[in-house]
Amino acid sequence: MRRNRIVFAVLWLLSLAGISFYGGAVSYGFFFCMTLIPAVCLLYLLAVYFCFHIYQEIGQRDVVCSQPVSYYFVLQNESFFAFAGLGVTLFSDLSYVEDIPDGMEFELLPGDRYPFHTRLVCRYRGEYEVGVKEIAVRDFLRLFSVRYRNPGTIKALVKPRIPVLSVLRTLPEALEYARRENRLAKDWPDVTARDYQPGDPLKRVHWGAAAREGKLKTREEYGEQKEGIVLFLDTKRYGTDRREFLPLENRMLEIVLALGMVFVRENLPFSFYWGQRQPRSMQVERMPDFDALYGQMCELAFDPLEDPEAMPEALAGSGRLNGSRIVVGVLHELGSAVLELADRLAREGTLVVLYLTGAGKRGRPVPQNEPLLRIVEIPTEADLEELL
Amino acid sequence: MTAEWIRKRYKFIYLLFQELLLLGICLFGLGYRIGIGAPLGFPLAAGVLSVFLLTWILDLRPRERLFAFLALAGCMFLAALAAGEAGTAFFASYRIWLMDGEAWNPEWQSGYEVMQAVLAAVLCCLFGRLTDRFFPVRAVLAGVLAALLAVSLFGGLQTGHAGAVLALWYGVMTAAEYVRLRWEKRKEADAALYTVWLLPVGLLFLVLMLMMPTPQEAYDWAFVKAAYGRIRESVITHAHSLVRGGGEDFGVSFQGLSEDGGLGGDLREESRELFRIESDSLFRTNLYLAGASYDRFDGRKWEKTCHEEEPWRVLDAAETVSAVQAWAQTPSDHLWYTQFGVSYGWFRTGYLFAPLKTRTIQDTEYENDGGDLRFGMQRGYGTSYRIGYYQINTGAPDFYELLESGSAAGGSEPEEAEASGAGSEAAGQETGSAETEAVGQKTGSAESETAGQEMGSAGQGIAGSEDAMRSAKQEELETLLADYGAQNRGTQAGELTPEDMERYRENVRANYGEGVRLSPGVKSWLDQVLDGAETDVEKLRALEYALSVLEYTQTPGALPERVKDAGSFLDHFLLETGRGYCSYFATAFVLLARSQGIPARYVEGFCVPARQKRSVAVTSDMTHAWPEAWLEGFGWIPFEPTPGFRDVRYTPWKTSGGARADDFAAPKATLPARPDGQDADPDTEGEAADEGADGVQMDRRAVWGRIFRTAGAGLAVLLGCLLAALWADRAVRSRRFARMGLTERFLYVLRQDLWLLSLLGLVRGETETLQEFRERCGKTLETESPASLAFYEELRYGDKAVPDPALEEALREREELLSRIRDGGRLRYWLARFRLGG
Repeated sequence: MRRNRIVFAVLWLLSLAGISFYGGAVSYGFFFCMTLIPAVCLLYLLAVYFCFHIYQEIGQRDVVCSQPVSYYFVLQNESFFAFAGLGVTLFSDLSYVEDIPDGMEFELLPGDRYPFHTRLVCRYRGEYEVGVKEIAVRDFLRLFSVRYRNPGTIKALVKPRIPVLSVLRTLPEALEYARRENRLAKDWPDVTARDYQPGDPLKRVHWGAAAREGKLKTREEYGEQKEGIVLFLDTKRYGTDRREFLPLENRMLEIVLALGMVFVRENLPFSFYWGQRQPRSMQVERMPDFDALYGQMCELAFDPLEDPEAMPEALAGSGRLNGSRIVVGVLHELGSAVLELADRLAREGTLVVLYLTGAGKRGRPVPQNEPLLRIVEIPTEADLEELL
Repeated sequence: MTAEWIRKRYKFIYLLFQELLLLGICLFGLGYRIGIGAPLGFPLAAGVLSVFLLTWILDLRPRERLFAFLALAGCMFLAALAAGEAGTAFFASYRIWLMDGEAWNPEWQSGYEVMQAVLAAVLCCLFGRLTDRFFPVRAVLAGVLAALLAVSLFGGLQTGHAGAVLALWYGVMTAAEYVRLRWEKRKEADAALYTVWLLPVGLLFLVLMLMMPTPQEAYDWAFVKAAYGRIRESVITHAHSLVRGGGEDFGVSFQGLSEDGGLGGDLREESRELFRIESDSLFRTNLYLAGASYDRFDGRKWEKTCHEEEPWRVLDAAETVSAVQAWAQTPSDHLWYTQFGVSYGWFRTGYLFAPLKTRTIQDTEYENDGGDLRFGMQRGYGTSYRIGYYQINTGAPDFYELLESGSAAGGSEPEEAEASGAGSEAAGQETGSAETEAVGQKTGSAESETAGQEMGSAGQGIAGSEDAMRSAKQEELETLLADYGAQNRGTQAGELTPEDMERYRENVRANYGEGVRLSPGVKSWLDQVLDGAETDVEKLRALEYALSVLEYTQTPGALPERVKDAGSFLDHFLLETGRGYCSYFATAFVLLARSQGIPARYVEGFCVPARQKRSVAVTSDMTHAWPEAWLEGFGWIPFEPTPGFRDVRYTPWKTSGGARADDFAAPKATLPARPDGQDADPDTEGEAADEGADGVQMDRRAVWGRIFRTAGAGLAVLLGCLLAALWADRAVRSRRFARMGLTERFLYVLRQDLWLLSLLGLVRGETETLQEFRERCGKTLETESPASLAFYEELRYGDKAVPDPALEEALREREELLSRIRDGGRLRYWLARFRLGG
């Protein structure tokens, strides 16, 4: 296009020189020819702008992250003149369309129709525009180009994906805990037993468990044992560019959902906490609870005003931490307050696993000699199924 | 439905369009060369019909085509039979007409033209088919048409408007098809179908082109020049305001000479160069450049009420020259023609400064404004013009004798001419110009010769009665008027007539001759001064002397409130203070001269000590005011009543008869510090005379030097701009690259790698997969397949993120490819580097 413009500019200047020295049909004809070319080209572009229509649709508005959804769009020319060059640019930051090369140009003659049946994949959770982003129109001499935003963009509501983990490599203790609890609960679904301690009342002896294990077992009282699992999520929004924070938030939610799915699948009830300024929590024991959790995660809005340092306080306020067996945190930055809390919990016998997503800040060095404190780094774009 | 129909018949439409276009070019562009005088009418109809018929026939299937041709042949045969002998005769005469170009039977001229049109149509059909099949042929044809247009333009050949437009349109449509050919886009249709669907736009373009005018004259860019001039002036004004401060005509106002001719107040000392004057030869006298003249005085300031647009300067010059030529024995004793150039520096004014007796002003447009010369708008830096004028030998006694003899109304007794022709001289001639006028030539007979011719036998002298002399002067005047008018580029250009001269005289008397009421004291003073003076010249000289002995000061103080008119001014100046600066003396002179019935005017301008110099810088401290008196039959004569300026004004050159010095007594006033009015060196005066006789000599070296310097500066600026643009481009690209994410960077570098591969002849085919292309690159370059392409494949089809090594790999490959290109040629390598931007 640049070459065409240079050639045109040179010819136009020559035409100016021509009419400066010569009169007559040839010189003036040449001058007006060169002068009218850009005028006609721009008129043509204007005509194409008004005449061209693009039609697109997706299979469903509610889309799940990374799951392809059918996508259809068609380019067609319903006017009476040719469209010399039409370029279509798709939204590619947060989604992509299979089998359609971005930026390709099309020539559309009257009656021509290019339909595309393909699939659209949204990479991250959120609500954003997908499909055709921009249309570039070029004239028949490739002198000028007009780009304009597609007025009929599609907004997709993308829900987070639930990664299915076959194994939970980073937290085998949870599965072990799950197996033990399930075994105990087989015969006595809602009763747990511990080893007999001298002084325990006889009527609290769990004779079935004792017979099974070959030693005296006492039924545990409510509140005596440590609770199961606590899962908390840092809901601070990091960054202002969508391309930065969406992948991060998406990954964090996926971790939460992946772990939650594992726990639910293994019948491991857990408590989930999120939000620092307005702490919220929910108990998840069965699949309906998980569905509710999923719904909450779909609507969760990360907030740049949230303070990760306030998380320990929020969690402490819940009153459930000290009695937990396993505490799992999904964070981006590891602040000193969280690290202190984790350290303390680990020293008290609670297994603490912190999943750090992305390359966030680290408040202070992680204690190395604490076996019950584990930090797992999860890159934003890595394969979660393999890392978790 | 229409679209469907067009899709089915697009080939036919396309060919028809091409062939009709070629036919149009033939008939309207080259028609006159093939014997078609007026294409519109039968030839056009026949041509179009033929094209349509042929195209339709050729579009048929082979068997149908054969039948169609046979039918056509049959029709033609029957037509020939029906025509009989007349038909045979027609074709025979047509053949003769083709050979000789002359119609055997003029009545059959239209028939010949029809035949030519049909033949042209057949050729166009064939050409159309050929260009459709082979696009390069069409490109060549477009080039040939362009060449033909160029030949007709430079060769001055006749080309019709429609023919030129159609040929240009053909080029544009061919260009559109060529662009499509090279355009990488998804296109499934035939080029012909594409062109057919582009026709609506093309036809609009054609119609617009046909509607445009095509004047025979080249465009004079008057509007653009005017706009450019205004923009330039505006830019210079603002630049000057920033550098020097604003104000209009400030050059004049700095010295206490206000724009509207006000007096009073003290002068400021300032010397700043305003403009330069450069002469082709040494000036014989100092230069008084008049700017503004005024006709009405209200006691405190001068006002200009006369704004006649006639060329009074030129008329005045003609009057004086004709008088000198008619009356003077040796005209060169009194007038000397000189040319000089003026170029403005940091100086803005609407006035064109020129001396008295200006004959020509070249290289600029100007307006006449009551005897003043003005530009249409304020002009400043870079303004230049050339003046041709007659230097007057004021101060020489001979001059005043001439004035005495011819100062009566209508011109009185001339100088007695000697009987021999030895006195004839051609003085002040310009060399090198066919329009040279010899001033001071003595006419050989009572009838004046036209300007530019040297009189070889002017020896009889002009004797006779006053009427005869008046008549001779009148004839001389008429000749000069015609000549001067032709050279005048002011508002009223063109031949001047004696009626113009008479009207001018009446205006002078009316505007500058108004009487002045004198108080008894001034009258008494004047009587003493003019005691013994009888003629106007004597009176004026006496006035001049009387004023020149008063006191000059730059700080006369403000005028008192009681000074409200001319009379009270004279009272104050002559009787009370007796001191002032140039404006005072000039004003007093003008008023006193008018009181004696002599038209006089007040003039402001510059007094330039240019004598014996070729080039002078005019500075702001050279501003001056002086009076001029109008003598009937002779024109305006300047005087210098300001004390201390006598030697500046009166620097006569040696005449053939009398002595050089005048007979005035030295002024009694102390001379103020003024620019040096150098006395003429008697040794160099002859040189001045000789050099004045030489022709105009341009300093070519200075001109070429200026051209080269300007071109060099322009090139340097262009180069600087180019380098700056390149640097900016690199900076922008670097910044953009730095802000890109990993994937974007990788794709950016990959695009460069692909471009470099294309330079090496490796371009991915339309149906070639990335893997195949990768392998082909590896084989051709005899290296491993480019890994960056593998990463790209994963990115595009595997939706995998770009790993860090991908970018490094792409950069490494880029360098490798560049080194390969360098092996193939340094120039290509540097161009590639330049394009990549590092």
